[in-house]
Amino acid sequence: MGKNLRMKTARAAMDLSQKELAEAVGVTRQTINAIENGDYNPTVKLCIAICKVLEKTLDQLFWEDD
Amino acid sequence: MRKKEFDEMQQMLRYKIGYQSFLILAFMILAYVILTDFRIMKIENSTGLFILLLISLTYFISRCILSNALVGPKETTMKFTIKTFSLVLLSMTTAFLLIGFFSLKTSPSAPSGGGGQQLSLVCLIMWAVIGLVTLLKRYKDRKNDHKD
Repeated sequence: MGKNLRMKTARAAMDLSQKELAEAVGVTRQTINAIENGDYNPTVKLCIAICKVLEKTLDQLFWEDD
Repeated sequence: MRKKEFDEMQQMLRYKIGYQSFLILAFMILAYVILTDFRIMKIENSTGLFILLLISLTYFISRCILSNALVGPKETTMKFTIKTFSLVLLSMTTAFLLIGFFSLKTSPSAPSGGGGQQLSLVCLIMWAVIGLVTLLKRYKDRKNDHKD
């Protein structure tokens, strides 16, 4: 699984740190870091929570293009 | 999203580490039984098993600390900290009182049963390992924070 650069970009665009995003979705900073680095595959529930905070759709953040 | 005790990645890691610890404990008990049955090693039965439990526990705690799965994202309030501290203090006092009561009941010349020194040594090593792992984790986190 590759790095999730779209999530990282969306987070940076909203001027949020990993810690702030983690607090907003109720996980640890390390979990957000692992998702961005592609080390952890989050559940749909967590994906939706992240999308809501970053004001993006699931497709925009998590859909992998061919 | 409501904050939980552990987040989903932490839960997954804890299940994984817990399973590994269980396997380690099971294989160590098997090895211990074989070694004692062939009289290669001689440790008092209950002490030996307790030491194996401590080793498995040390592995679980150390791995949880290193994987950041020991404590959840939930922030603890001052009230909660005081409550936990009071509970620990109460448990320790009860333990000391119980030990004191039973020591008074048994005669001072009675043998201690053996294995006490071995257990103390293993406990000491266990806390030293946990302390070292915590320090290592803090050092790694600080280094990563500078990178981010």
